[in-house]
Amino acid sequence: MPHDDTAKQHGRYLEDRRLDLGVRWSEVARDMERLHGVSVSADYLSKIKRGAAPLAKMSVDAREALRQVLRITTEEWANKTGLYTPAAAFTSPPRPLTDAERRGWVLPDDDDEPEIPDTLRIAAEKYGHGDNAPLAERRWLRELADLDFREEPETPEDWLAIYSRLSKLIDPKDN
Amino acid sequence: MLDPLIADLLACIEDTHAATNYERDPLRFCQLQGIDYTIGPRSLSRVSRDGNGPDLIIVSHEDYGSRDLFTVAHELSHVIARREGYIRLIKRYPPVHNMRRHIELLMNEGAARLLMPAPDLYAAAIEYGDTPRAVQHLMTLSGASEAAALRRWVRQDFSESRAAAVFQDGYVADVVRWRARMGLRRWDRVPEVALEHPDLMLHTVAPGRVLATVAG
Repeated sequence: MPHDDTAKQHGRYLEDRRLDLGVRWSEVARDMERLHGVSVSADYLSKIKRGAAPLAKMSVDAREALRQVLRITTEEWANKTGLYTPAAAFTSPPRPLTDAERRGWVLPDDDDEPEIPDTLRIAAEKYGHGDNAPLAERRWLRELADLDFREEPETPEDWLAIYSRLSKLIDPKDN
Repeated sequence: MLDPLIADLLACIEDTHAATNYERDPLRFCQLQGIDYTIGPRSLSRVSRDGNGPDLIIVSHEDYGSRDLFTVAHELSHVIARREGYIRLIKRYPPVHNMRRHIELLMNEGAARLLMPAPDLYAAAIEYGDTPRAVQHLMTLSGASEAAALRRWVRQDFSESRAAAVFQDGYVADVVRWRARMGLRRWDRVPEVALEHPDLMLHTVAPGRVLATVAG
């Protein structure tokens, strides 16, 4: 098979895979950098897709990152592309995929620091000493601000009551 | 057409429940899902990050009673949605004016699915078709409130048109619609509903209280 045809065939295969996952090439490029430290542009991936840039010429590290981001098994990759991948050189993500990821969604980075409500700050200043000193610690402020409430606490005393209960059940770490 | 992300979230909640063989006991469901469940000053949920403590649901004392089931189911939905990545996605992708309210409403939809799972809807449809008695049957099967059963019945399939209402002493006490026309608003006075709305299927559930549905 001529080189051009092979490159186009690879491109079509990767494009089909991307469409199956429902992600954009820019997201693929972002995850290749974020998860695997391989920096490629969305334009370059687009050229690969069109067969204008051969997949076979891509660096082995980049190819492996692309394979993992597109969640292609080593077996399938070998069958579909015939290209070598040093899968053993890469460690798989340690956590299992979430249901959203299994359905093809690409998770954004972890949430930023949760916004600390004013009433929680006041509770920390007012009650965060003595036995309740941990209430004023960053780890507890983050924990409390990140909870899902049916009805949001409205007063510093509400937060104190929640802290008092939770502190008997959990001991948040300072990540 | 339902937003694909929301459709996946609701499918995830339903699949999680189905994997427990539609466990109805909230305590048992929590056990099966590895979620600690306890009583506290306010209803809330938390999900562990990087093994940092347990996934946890706290339900307030006031929520015991008829609303208890829905409250627990609501908190369970929070845990499932967070665990499975949906909250991170929902917070980033669709531009929503009030994100907290948006998420709470979605968790209510999830809770309704946990409380009144698809097999219940199927059983109600087999027994009573698209009639007010199907809503009543849902309440009996699940222990859900009338308001929750009404909403679950109406929104059981987002591709179909349904609406339901409750009349109390000639007034509209509750009304829910999904893609269906029902020219009623809450607190409208409708003294002769059978005459004024012959398109509705009616069922008297108590003196002065009438349940109405329309489908298709």
